[in-house]
Amino acid sequence: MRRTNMKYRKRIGFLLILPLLLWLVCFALVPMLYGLRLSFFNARINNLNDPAFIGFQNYIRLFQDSDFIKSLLWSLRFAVVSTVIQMILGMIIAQLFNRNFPGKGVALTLYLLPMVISPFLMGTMFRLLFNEFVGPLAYLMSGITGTTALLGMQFVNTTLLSADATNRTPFVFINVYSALQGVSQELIEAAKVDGANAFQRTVHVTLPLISSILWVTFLEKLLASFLIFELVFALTAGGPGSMTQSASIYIYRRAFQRSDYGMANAASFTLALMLLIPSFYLVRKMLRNRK
Amino acid sequence: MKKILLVVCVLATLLLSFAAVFAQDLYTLRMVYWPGPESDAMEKVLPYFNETYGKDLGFKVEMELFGRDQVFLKQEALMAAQSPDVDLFYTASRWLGKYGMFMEPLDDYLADPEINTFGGSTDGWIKATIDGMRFTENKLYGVPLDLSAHFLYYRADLIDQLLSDEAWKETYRALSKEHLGVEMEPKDPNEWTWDDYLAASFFFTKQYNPDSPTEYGNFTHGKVMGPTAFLWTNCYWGFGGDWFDAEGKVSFDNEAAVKALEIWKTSFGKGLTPPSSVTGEFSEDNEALRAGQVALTVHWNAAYPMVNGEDSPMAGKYKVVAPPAGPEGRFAYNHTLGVGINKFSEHKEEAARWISWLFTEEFAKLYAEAGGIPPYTSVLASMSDARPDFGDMVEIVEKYGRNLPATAGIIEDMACQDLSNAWTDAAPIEESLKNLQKNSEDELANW
Amino acid sequence: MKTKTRIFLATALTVLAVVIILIIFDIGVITNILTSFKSNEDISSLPPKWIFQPTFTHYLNVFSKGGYNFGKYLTNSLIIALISTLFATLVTIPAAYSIVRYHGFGEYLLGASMLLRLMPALAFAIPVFIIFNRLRILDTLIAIIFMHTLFIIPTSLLLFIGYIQDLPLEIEEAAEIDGAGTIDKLFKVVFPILRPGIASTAILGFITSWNEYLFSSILGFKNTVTATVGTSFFITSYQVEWGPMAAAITVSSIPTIIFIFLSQKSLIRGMTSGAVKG
Repeated sequence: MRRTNMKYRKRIGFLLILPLLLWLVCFALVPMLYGLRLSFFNARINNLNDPAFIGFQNYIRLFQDSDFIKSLLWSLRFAVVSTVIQMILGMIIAQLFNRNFPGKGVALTLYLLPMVISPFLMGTMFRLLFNEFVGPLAYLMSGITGTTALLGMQFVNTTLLSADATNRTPFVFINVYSALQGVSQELIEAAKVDGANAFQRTVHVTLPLISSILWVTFLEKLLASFLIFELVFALTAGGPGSMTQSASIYIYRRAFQRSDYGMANAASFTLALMLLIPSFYLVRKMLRNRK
Repeated sequence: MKKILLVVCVLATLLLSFAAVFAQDLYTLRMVYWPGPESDAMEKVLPYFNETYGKDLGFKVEMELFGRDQVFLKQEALMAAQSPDVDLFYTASRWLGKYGMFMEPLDDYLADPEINTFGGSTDGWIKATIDGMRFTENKLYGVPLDLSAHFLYYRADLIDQLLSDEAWKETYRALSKEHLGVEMEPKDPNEWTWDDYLAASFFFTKQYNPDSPTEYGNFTHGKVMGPTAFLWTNCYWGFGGDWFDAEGKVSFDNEAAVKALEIWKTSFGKGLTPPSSVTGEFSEDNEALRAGQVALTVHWNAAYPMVNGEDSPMAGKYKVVAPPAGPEGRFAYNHTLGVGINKFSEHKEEAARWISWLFTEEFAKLYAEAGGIPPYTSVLASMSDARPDFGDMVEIVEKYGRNLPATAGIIEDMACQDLSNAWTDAAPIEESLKNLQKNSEDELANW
Repeated sequence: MKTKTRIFLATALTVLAVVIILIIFDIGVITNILTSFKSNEDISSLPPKWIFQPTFTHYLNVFSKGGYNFGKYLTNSLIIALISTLFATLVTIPAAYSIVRYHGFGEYLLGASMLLRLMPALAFAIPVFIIFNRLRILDTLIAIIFMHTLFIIPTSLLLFIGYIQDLPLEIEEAAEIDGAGTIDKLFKVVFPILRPGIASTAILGFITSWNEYLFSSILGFKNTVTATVGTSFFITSYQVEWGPMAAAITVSSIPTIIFIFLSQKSLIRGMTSGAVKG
């Protein structure tokens, strides 16, 4: 009796998962395998139906390409810096919102506003808004930077960082804010009774409670920033030279501007492999948080 | 359970309706175009054709708008998939090397009086643009619809003053002596060499000449994208270089390229062009011109109505000539955008009929009046009252026009990246050129 | 009295800080909206104008330009976003339920779908296009819906697992005693209880789909142009048409703004159970 029940449970469990499984296999696994296959071929638009098998040639060429290494380094630096900035901002702002004040509902919506606009479109609009001569944002920022040339060599990285920060800090904010909302008020009150001041309460009570969510948010943000594409593509297209070329832009240009599909797929899979270890770690961490 | 059934029904209906949408429009030719002034013009011409000739012939033509950043991506994907989903591809002279093999030669269709009932022909079109649409075995692969060329834009009021004002002339001489090592006289822009261009740029940059009415001398496009490399090519040609040498081998690692890059590098390095122009392209240049902050620029003809037209704050202040000359001649880059027939189309004959109409003067006239720039000599010339730049363009292209060959599209992206590395001083000029030479040789070996 | 003043001061300071933060973060959106009301001449004025004669020409242009059907693009976006979200919800809730209640190999699946959202989406673009073309479903809404659903799945799955873990087992057990099968239980008990969670997950899914650009642009030509892709049509061969573009962005962000405003409470409450993509 118990055995059949187990079997039945297993079957039901599997059936419930089946639709999702099918979806992942059809639309993620199959295209990915197809892409993996392409990465071993010299596949270009002129021979895509009958590409030549070249083994690991694409991967070898990739690692000899200083542009690729440079783009990885740029992405890494960008990811670390932007994530640190956005985590700090997100935490401070979440703390600020984690109390009652008049107009909070409207303020919350307004704060989440930047994330309702597609980064590609906003990035394109930023070309005007940061324009050296007629850009309102450039004009406002010149008070701090001393110049309106925010997309020149000197400030282009900073501009990308700040544009990305306005666009994506809201995501960090949501995570931290909802985590804060989950912290029980009693604990905080208890700490208050014990005479802890606001700073101590944050460091000793709140932070430990939300630390695992913070860590997961940090890692997720880091990986997402590493793959940044749309904003940079719209604003600088990777230039000047190869200065702001992120790994995703490298792949995009390989695939869609040089039609070198084999190499582009090789780069994608290299990137995927690199992200695999941190991703696995992150997934396990998330799963453990669930329990 | 009822609810589930309901959901299933709704989904099924939705699926069916998608299928229905997909199945309709059997006899509609689908022509790829990109959104912008070109498609606005075509949009006005299409109904005319569809209501008159199209009705008689039993088909109509529709545009498929692919955005600028997606047009290649989608077309390539369609080509690679040998898809008959569109009948006419959007193309340009310089992309034929990449896409020509997926397109149908037009010569036989044009020669066939059964199909070419409109008498469309290649006569009357600017010859260079027709030749630009030829690829393997000199066959015609597309109809040139919009001509693009490079002009040197300059502030006529300021140059006039420079040519007449003694004090300005004196400063000009001193500045050219100081920065270019030779004492130079101000000249009419139509007689400029690239050195004159630099001297004038120094003169109109506030940093070097506090009396300059503009902040910067020129605007040099720097964004990493193919068209930026074409603007530089005017200068490269002037110094005797070309993307491909006489035998058709790619050629960047040479003295001419170094010299041409020096000119660009001076503009960026000395601050003659706005600092943000390293990431600037067409729109950024326009804003600088409209704001009156630069005196000169080598720029696309399409900008003319935007910077000099009525809604520009600097309306009427700019004049255009061909880009400056180098020791080996004076050149104005030009290319044409156009359409050609998809090799895998299932309605080639209809497509050919439509194409043959595109070759007629009637079409060229309608298209030009709607805002297009068809390279049809008599049409452009007749419109030079309404659009003074058309007159300039015919003259400049016929005198100085030069094309990049069909294979240039394959390497334009890598060209621009390495050139940009060189002119922003991210890498030494020689190293960038060696890199570019090697990369493009490797790439072209695959085609 | 003193404490009252202190509370008032603290609130005033908070509001001030919030206002400053809002200005900093929304300045891009605000200037974008301002741009959409400027005439071309004002857009190109130096220095930039903050006070100007507003004009609606760009909005008129967006909605009435020949060959450009923004209303249809908005409808497409709406259909795609709604159905993708619906699909994602229908697919992920049973899976999440199975992972929480039946364990099995579901956790690997969660791992796999988590990995999915950390992979460069670009890598799929070409294979997906070629495969969809073989299936002859290019330029259909369903093609885009398939992919958008895929992009919504990871976040939804993670969130639903969180919600279902918080569900008290007793309710389900009670239903079981009443003789309800698994499917019944799922639709009659779990779905209704999860309603607030579904709302907040759906909003995130909606935003993901609404803003997606790359795949919408590759997989569709004419019938399926979404608002995002349609807006990008103002990036023309040479010039970016700033005014109409700003106007189109403004119009197409209104639905999401309304959604967020109406449901932020459940959004935040829902988020408490899980981390979301940044």
